[in-house]
Amino acid sequence: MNGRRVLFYDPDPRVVRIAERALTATGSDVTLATSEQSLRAQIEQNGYDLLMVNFDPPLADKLEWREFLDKAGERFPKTKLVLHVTSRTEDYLPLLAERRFLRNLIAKNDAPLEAEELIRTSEKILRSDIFGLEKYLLWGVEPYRVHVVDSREKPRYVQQVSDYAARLGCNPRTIELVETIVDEVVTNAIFNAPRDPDGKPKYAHLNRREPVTLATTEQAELLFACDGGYIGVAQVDPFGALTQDTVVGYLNRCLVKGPRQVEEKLGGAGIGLFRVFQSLSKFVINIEPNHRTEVIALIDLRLTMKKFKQFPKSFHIFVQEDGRA
Amino acid sequence: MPDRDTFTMEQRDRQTRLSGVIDEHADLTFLGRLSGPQVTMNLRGIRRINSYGVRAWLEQIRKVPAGVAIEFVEVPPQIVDQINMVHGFIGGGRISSFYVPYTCEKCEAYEERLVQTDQCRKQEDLPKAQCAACGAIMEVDDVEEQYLQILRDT
Repeated sequence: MNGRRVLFYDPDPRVVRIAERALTATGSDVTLATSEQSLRAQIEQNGYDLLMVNFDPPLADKLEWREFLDKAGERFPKTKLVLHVTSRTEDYLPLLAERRFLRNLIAKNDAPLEAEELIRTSEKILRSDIFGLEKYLLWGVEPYRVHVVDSREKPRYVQQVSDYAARLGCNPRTIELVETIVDEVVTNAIFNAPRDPDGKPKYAHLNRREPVTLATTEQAELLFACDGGYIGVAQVDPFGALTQDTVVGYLNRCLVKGPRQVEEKLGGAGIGLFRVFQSLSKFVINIEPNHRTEVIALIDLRLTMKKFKQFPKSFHIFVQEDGRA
Repeated sequence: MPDRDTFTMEQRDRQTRLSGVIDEHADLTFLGRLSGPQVTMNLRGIRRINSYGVRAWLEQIRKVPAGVAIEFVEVPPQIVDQINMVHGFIGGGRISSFYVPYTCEKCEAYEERLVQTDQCRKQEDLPKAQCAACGAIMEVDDVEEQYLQILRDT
């Protein structure tokens, strides 16, 4: 045992069995809450490193629970929170903006829960080791790496990943998803991520047609890999300027179809993150403030396009502060 | 010869044919210079559109002169996605045909078949498709509602 305590709650006994096995296997001391009442009582004991809680109705609809979880961060500062949901992404995204406790959401699809995602998410938090595309792929897979240096080279970066997806046998629509992700994350790495010495955006105001060559210290890295089940694309920049509020704000604005969807200011259109989000199955953003940001997009290759669009998407923002996730 | 991603616009067979990627380098100003009364715009060759391309497209589609009616034909699934996600994507135009993606659960074949909007509207459904490889009935490999919405909106 590693001395870490995890409290898990889900009303579905199938999910509980998976979670009990998976989380116990990590060496943590796992407590299972069997009802909302016992969950509340266990949380109040304030002895847990991590809470993993089902956030579907009826619990999610109760204002008292939303407020309780909202304040849990202040009341129990050493306890981290991960929620798992079956709600459609469009339903939980607006909540992210209102409720800061919604930072890590694991999507439940056909299977009750992926043990791998439970383990990965809990261990990233408990070990304060949040970075790395490799964590989301099977052991043995080595990502390809490309340095992102120049905006004029973007078509070449996109082409490399696109060719890779074609070699994997992906159909044209999956390849288009991959290309969209690479296009947007590379644009983000070149125009939005870089900061000047005062921490102000350096190139964000520029028209995206203007060529930008990143200095050595500004260069990002593009990684891509596949383990048969998922194809993953990651972009890592050396700035750590992205914030949870920025991410959630942009995603929510784009969710509402209307005239304010697309920004008309100079620079980007403000829908790049949303386009990435629409093109993936799992979205992971790892941030070490002022040092590093990693955006990871994973597409589940086992799904038809129909299921891909209908299934909820997992969403995670991990922030590493003072050596802790 | 432009590569497959370079945006191009050409007039052929009485159609304005667009192809490539609509991104920051695509010159869409031709939309503001269209002359009517009717323009048939074929979108089959559009591979994808990025976030900057969406904004540029919206800016230019609003500049289509009054009195010019655009008829979009052969709209591919990736543009159907945009029409469903982005407010005002086709301006005042109408869609007269679009591609529907089908997949075969039996042999995993994938193909996109051209469908006429009027024909679908009469049937109030998307047409059934038979797999050319194994003969099984294919499934629509997308959220059908997105395509049916086109029937209601155009």
